[in-house]
Amino acid sequence: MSTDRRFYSRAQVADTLTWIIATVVVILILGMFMFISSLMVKANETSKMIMSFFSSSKDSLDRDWISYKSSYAFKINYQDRDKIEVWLNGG
Amino acid sequence: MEKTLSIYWFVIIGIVATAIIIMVAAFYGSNYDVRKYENRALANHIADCISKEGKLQDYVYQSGFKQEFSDNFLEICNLNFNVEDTYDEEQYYVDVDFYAVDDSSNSLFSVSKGNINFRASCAIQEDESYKTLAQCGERRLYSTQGNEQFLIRIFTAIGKVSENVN
Repeated sequence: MSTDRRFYSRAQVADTLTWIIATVVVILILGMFMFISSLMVKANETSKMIMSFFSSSKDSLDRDWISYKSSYAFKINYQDRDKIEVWLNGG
Repeated sequence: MEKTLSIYWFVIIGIVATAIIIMVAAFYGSNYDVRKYENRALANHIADCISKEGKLQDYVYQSGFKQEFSDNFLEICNLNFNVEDTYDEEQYYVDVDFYAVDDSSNSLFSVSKGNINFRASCAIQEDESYKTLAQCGERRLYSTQGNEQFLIRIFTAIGKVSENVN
């Protein structure tokens, strides 16, 4: 009888330990994910990368649109085109 | 034992849910700095107002630049810089310079509206940009009027720091 009680007592301790370790592991994993997400928020480059990924198509469209506006003017008067294009590109 | 386990599971579910809420709030709660795109949209709108189909609009130039355009720039271009109740000062600055093709350093005509203090913020950020200062943008456009050719530089600056920076 006493052997049985000791056996069940050990089994209960082992069971509890398993659950405690499992809880610690869950909390550690969650902590790791929280840390990664906070890094993603803080890292300016990551945010920029994400934003540029979502807005890349709009950017190129926009750049084309402003070039398109100038190219309309070139159709009317293309004198000094090279010189103007250098200026338009920041020269 | 069964009862203890079910309480334990509720606690675990609670911890996981709280962590997910914290992570989502941290990620989506932070402000996105969209001033770069706002600058772009503003410059595009001004470019549309100034030049259409490669020609300067009549209200901008008709055998000479019109002072009326400079005086009523905001009304003519349908711009309203006083849209934010959060700020006491205007949060926008616009400067449009017109140059001849031969001389792109001396402007023929210039229009500037908005908060002129942002001009200094932009000058500081020539080498390195600071999030807590106004964000600046510059777009360049070519347009004509008759036989005349014009280079147009549209400079925009947007403050709105508290809305775009954490």
